[in-house]
Amino acid sequence: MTFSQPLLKVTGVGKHFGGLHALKGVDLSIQEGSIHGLIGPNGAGKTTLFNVITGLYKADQGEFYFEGRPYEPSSVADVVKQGVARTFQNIRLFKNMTVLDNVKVGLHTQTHSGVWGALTQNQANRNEEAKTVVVAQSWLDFVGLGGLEHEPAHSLSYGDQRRLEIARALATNPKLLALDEPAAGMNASEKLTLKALILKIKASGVTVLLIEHDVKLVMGLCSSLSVLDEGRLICEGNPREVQSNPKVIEAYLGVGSVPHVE
Amino acid sequence: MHMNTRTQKILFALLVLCLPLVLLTFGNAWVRILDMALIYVLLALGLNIVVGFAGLLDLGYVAFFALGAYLYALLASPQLLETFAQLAPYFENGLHTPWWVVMPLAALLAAFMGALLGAPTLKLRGDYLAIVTLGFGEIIRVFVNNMDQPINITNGPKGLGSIDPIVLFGHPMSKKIELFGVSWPGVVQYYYFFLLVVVIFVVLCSRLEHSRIGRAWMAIREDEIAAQAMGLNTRNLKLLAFALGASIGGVGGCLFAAFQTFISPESFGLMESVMIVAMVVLGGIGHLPGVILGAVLLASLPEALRFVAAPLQSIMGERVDASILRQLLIALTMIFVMLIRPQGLWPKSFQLSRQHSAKGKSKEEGKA
Repeated sequence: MTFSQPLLKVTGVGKHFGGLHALKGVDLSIQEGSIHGLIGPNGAGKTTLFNVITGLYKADQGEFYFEGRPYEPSSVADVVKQGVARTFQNIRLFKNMTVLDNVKVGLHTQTHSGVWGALTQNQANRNEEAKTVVVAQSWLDFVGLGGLEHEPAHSLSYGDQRRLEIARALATNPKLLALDEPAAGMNASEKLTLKALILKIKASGVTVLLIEHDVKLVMGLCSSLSVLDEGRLICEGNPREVQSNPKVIEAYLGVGSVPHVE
Repeated sequence: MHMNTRTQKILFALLVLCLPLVLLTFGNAWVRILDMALIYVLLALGLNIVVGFAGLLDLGYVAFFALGAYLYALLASPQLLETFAQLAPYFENGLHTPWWVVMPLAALLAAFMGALLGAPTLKLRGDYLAIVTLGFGEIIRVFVNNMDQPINITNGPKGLGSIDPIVLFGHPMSKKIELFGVSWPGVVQYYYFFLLVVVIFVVLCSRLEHSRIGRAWMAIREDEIAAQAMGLNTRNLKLLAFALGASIGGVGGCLFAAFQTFISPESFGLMESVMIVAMVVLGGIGHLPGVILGAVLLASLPEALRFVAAPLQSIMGERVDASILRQLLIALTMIFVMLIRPQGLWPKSFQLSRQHSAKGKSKEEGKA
């Protein structure tokens, strides 16, 4: 067992929408280099927690640490610069741009050419553009979309759109990649390719936070899991521990179901 | 069957260069329409940055056009010295600021106003943004309309006249010039001058479109949240789009004022804004060739329809006013085009971009 400091640590996160308390003091810590799963029944608060961590929602309470330093997810754009990239549950690609341009946008924060460079097409601008193409291309090859770079993003198949979204997020050069239900709506073979891709991402040194409904995928991929129910963290541990936890079974199957488990 | 693109380009350039000479045989008025069409192309190019690239629906774009026109008119007409007679001794020959001084000034001022308009509207999208910008456009017009009291600056609804024409190498373009044994009327000179300005801005817009900034704008247009998730500072990028778009409007205003030598608030009404938006949408939002086509068509169509409206009117027994009939025909044409081509007449095609990049690749290989 390693005792490295967690990449992301949040404590006591609370968030309410009017009278609905979506998160009631949730703790979460993600080890560097792991694939951490966030699961729970529908309405448990997974996506809310996810949105709070990635800056889309502002938390009411809670402390955040990223790489041991205080971390303030105040805006989506800010979070990216600090090294947390995300994908969306309902795919949000730049549909009328080419596949390559989608990834190029992901490289925006790492490039600096401005209006003047664009208007004058000076040497610095041209060098940067050339480099942008090469790097974007390499990310497309990484997720297995090489050869499709000049297609419009909306023409891709569903699985490819998911992979493009991941490529685009990876292009921002994150330390933590947060995937919101990446396997939703995928068929079995697409799921297998996705699984391989997530493992490849982990191998490249990026930590992954995964929200997923597909239990088989989560159990097979994640080294640790957090289970949310009704805005609370009810269980944390490796897949085996979580699977046998009575609270988890109760949350998924309902009260009284525990004794009947055969 | 297929001409190669180079031949097409050369033919197109020849057409553009010879068009005014052909039209001249039908009279100066036709070339004048062409000149105005070029000014509209410029405006459409500017608005395309805001609407086409960044996806921000701006219905008050004419405000920047007015700003540029009035700045030029004030700095190159007798108006200011008449109002502030005490300044007259300092300008013995009158106030004649050259266009190449006013034009950058107008671009800067319009850019500043564009950003100023953009700032409070950053959180607004779609219809809501359209309403605010529409209001802004009207404010500028009403403002200009009422700036004749207590100090007469804009001369109010009476408008400003005796504006200097564009002067190039000491020659005012409104005057005929003898060249190659032919006498070239002012409208033809203006045509080539405006054409040069338009070509410059087409090149600049195209460079912007294919730059890091252009991609960022389009990302915002496509999905603002996703754009933020890429780390884009959407606030600054939107302000930049407003400012750059507005600056082109300011330049267009200068050209307009110099060309007409008379301007009044009437020229900068809401309908102008709507027409410029229509040019961008009808041509093909965000696609430069389409936007240019849309501007040329919509600027010249009303004039061309004059010749259709008159016979139609006589068929109907003179019961309908010709100008109303003309507007009806324009509206019908626009509805028809939007029904059969909702993406615009000449939308962006990805096939083209593929060829483009293939060409770029082979070029790079050639270099290596």
